[in-house]
Amino acid sequence: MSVLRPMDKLPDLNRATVLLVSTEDALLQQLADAMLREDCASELRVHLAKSLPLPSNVNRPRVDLIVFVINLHSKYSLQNVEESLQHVDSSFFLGKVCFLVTGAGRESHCSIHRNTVVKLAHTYRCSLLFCDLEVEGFRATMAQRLVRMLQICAGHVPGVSALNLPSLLRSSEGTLLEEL
Amino acid sequence: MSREPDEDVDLFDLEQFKRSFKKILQRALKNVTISFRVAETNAVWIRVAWGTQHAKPNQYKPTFVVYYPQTPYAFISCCHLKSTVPLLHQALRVASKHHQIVQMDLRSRHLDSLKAIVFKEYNQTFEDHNSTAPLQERSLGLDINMDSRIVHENTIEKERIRRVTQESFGDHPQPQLEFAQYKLETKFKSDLNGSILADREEPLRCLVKFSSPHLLEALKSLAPAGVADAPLSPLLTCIPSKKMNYFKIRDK
Repeated sequence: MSVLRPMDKLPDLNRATVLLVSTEDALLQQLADAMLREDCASELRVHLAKSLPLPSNVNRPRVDLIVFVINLHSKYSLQNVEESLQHVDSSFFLGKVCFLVTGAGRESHCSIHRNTVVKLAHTYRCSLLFCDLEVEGFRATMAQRLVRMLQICAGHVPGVSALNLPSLLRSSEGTLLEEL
Repeated sequence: MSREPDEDVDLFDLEQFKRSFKKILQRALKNVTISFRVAETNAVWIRVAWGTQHAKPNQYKPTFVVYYPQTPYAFISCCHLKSTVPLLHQALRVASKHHQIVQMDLRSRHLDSLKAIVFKEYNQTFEDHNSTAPLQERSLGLDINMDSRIVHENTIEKERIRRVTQESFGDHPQPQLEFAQYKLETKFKSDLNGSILADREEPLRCLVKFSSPHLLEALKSLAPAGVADAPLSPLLTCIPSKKMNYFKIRDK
């Protein structure tokens, strides 16, 4: 009952909704602001959540894309994401989920190894994006990418569907892992 | 530092305190410089410069003591000569007419914060007619800054965290401490059977030290920032109420 499903609601006309999940509210707020500043033909909605499951008594639109934000400096954020993943329906993982990892720039503060998140993304067959969300410029670029991904997941880009996304966004590291 | 009074001493005689303090120190050490100053806040500041039998007192490394005569508390700055510490304690105890002197496990660079913790002055919020307004402004401010296209899903959880943090730490500004140190002397506990560490008879020694320019404010902001779960461990939240920031944890 508390599982998030991709197709259980009808889509609103020209609307695209993204759900950002992370323990660190300040990062999410900044990312949401950056995403909304982008010029976009679709009407954007950003939902911020600390963890899943979401409260069930709220009337919310269909979620097109879920972005799990993990901070490499905090084991707590990874643990939170791993627990939240259990409340997402498996059909979401056909391109509508992506992992965004921040904090890789400051190696000395990292308490989670990069390979841990690489393996996590590989297990769930999802795209993995790295970005230092604390830097304004990187955050703006990442917001741009996320908005484009969101439009694809909402079906607003003709000819490209969410299913194409994992293979389009695969980095060379991802291919190495699959060859093993 | 604290001491338990033996008898009730009603009147504090500053001159007698000074004489007694000086006498004890000078009887034991020939070369020592002692000076007194009374501050407006009813505190006696004592400056002691230590010397040895053959050397003049070193004026560049003095020890300061701040004694509040109406209370059983005195604050001592770090003494670089460890051997003189018991003598200093004895002088304070006898001069202030107390039976016993005990060193508290509370250390900080900020005298005001130590005072606030020890005299329990930190949780006084100033009452004025605007005291209800700030809370309203805080929630309104969030709404104004927010784009209507951003929806916060976990407002109930956020509210719970805010409430729990307020219950643990209060609304007032926290006293400023730099460290919290936990010395563990406990046996290793493990779920796995036959773990090498679990078989040890002696307790495992481990030291955990938290440091920050303003430790208590940092701890207070952990849960709202999403870095830790609320409520925080009582070992962290009990620091002002227990008046300790150096803990020794043993098995019961």
